[in-house]
Amino acid sequence: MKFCTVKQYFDDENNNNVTNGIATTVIPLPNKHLKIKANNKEMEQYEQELLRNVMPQELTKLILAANYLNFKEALDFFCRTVANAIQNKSVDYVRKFFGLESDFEPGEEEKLCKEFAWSFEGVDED
Amino acid sequence: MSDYLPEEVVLEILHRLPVKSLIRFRCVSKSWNSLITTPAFINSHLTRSHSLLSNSNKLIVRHCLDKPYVEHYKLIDDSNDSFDQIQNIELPLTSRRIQHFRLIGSANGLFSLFEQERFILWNPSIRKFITLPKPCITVKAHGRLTCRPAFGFDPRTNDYKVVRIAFPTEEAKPPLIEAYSLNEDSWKLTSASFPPGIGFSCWHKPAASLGGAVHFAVYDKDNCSRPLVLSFDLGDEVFRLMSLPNCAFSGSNVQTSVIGGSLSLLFYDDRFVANKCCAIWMMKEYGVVDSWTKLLTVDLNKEIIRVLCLQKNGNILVEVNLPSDWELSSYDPKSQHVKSLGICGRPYYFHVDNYVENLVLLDKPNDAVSKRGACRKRKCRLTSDKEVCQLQEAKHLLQEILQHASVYELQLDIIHQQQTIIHQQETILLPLQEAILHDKRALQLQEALLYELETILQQQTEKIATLISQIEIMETAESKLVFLIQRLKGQAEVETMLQQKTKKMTSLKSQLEKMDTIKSKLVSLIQQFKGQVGEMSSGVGDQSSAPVQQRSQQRSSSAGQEM
Repeated sequence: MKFCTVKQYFDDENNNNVTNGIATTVIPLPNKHLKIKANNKEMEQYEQELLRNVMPQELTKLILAANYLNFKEALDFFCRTVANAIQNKSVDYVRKFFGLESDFEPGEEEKLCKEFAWSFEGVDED
Repeated sequence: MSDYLPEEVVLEILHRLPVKSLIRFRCVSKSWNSLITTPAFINSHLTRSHSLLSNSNKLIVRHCLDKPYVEHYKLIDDSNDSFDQIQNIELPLTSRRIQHFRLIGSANGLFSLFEQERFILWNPSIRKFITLPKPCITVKAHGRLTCRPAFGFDPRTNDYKVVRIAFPTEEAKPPLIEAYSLNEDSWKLTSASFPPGIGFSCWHKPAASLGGAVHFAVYDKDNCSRPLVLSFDLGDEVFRLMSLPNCAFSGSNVQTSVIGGSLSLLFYDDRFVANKCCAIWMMKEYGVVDSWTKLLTVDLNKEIIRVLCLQKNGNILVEVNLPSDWELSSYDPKSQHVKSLGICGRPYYFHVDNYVENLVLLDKPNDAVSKRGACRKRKCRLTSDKEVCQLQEAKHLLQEILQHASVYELQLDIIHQQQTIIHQQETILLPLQEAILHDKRALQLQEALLYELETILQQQTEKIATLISQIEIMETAESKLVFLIQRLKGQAEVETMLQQKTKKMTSLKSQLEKMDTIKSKLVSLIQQFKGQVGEMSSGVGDQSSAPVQQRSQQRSSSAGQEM
């Protein structure tokens, strides 16, 4: 059931995971899905419109919200979007995007980079 | 950003990334590196890869070029008729025997190659290969063998397997069978029994891998060489035979393949030299003999020599023998038109398969590549990286020098002086360089002149050569003339001799004639005398006859003596 977590959310007032702004974006999605159903092009347009107003960093929050709300279609959509956004970017960009830090030893990372040097070709600049 | 995404969410994102990005993002952090290289992720990424739209229309083409002996793997988009090449990947390994590796087979975008007893698994998606450990069945241990290898994927265990069926050269012995499992990274002899009286129709073409079994085209030795399909299940390691419908003719060259997800057979019929063709049969329902249907026949009488794969638009990818080269081409069965795709290579070494991006082999330890085998491009990149590091180190050193300015002031002054000297030398050098340039130009002019002289010399030597040859001809003519003159002289001598002889002959003849006339005169005289004597004896009487007879006898005898 798509809305069992939403129901819990509304019941549970002490809620830090999902801010109001996010909720307003995520929750109307299933309605829209039902209206448009299997019409892929219209969904794509709708999704692109949604994303225009959302910063890339906001996407991670959206994903967390969708994950918390157990909302599979939205999760799939947001993950796909993130994947498309980061797929051709550099390692540093990805670290910044996800707020990660490199925990490699100084020589280890270089070794890894050199091993598959071809995968660093044609990467977008930051 | 203080929100940390839970691991399951990160995995969701990673599953949707292409292989190139995943390889690169191993460098993001240790946790990402371990996530990407777990076998579970590799397997689930592959299964999801199959369903991605971007992956459903790609073909991978293996073609081998000679000199350098490099194998190329080209990724091609099959979704439209234009046949765009997406990528070209080279195998970063060369065969030790100055040849190409032989292909055992391919499955899920993973290739298996071998030469003699060295087996390799190669994944062009991540450009990584591993060398398999030595097999159990070797020439050292079992004597000379003829081996039929095969490569397949078992979806039940997500395992890739290499199978070897080795026949000892003494025919009476049954074959030994072993299989290598990628999950276990080891070869194992199997106890499977090879069905007796079965022979392989083809020893080198890849065996089709479908549904966790590898399929070989075989024939029944005891039953008029009837063609059959022999399958070896990679899971339970059992051989099974499948019959073919009776109307399928027996060709000596039969190959198994997978077309449109079904087991197929390519029958190469070259019984009639003028009418060679290849018939493609498909088993629409696996295991049901009656479901074998003939798809179409490809005419092999013109340029086409081999059928490789079926395209999405119904065309067939074929190997074509052109006057200049062998090429991969697209054959339209309706119009019978062959369109070249511009991919050349060694004949019978082309291979086409459906391509799916995958990470298989990523978690395996790296092969120790011999220096000879390492990709040259990678070497160059490594040396340029080294240079970059060295430059960065030099930068750090300079900064340290600046910090210690008071101690190194003198050295800086010396450096400045040296710099001015260098500047002066440079100013001196400039005219020298110009002079060098002038000299170079002069040299070039001289070279041009020399070249002209050389050409003139050449012409003259050619003329001399012709003259010499003419002289030779004349000399031979002269000697012939001399010879002829001598012969003529000889002939003249002979003629004079003959003349002398004829003169002698004529003189002798005249002498003889004279003698004949004398003889005749004498004879006439004798007759006269005889007549006179007769008259005298008869007229005068017998008294004077006796002395007259004696005188006549004396006269005739003296005339005879005078003669």
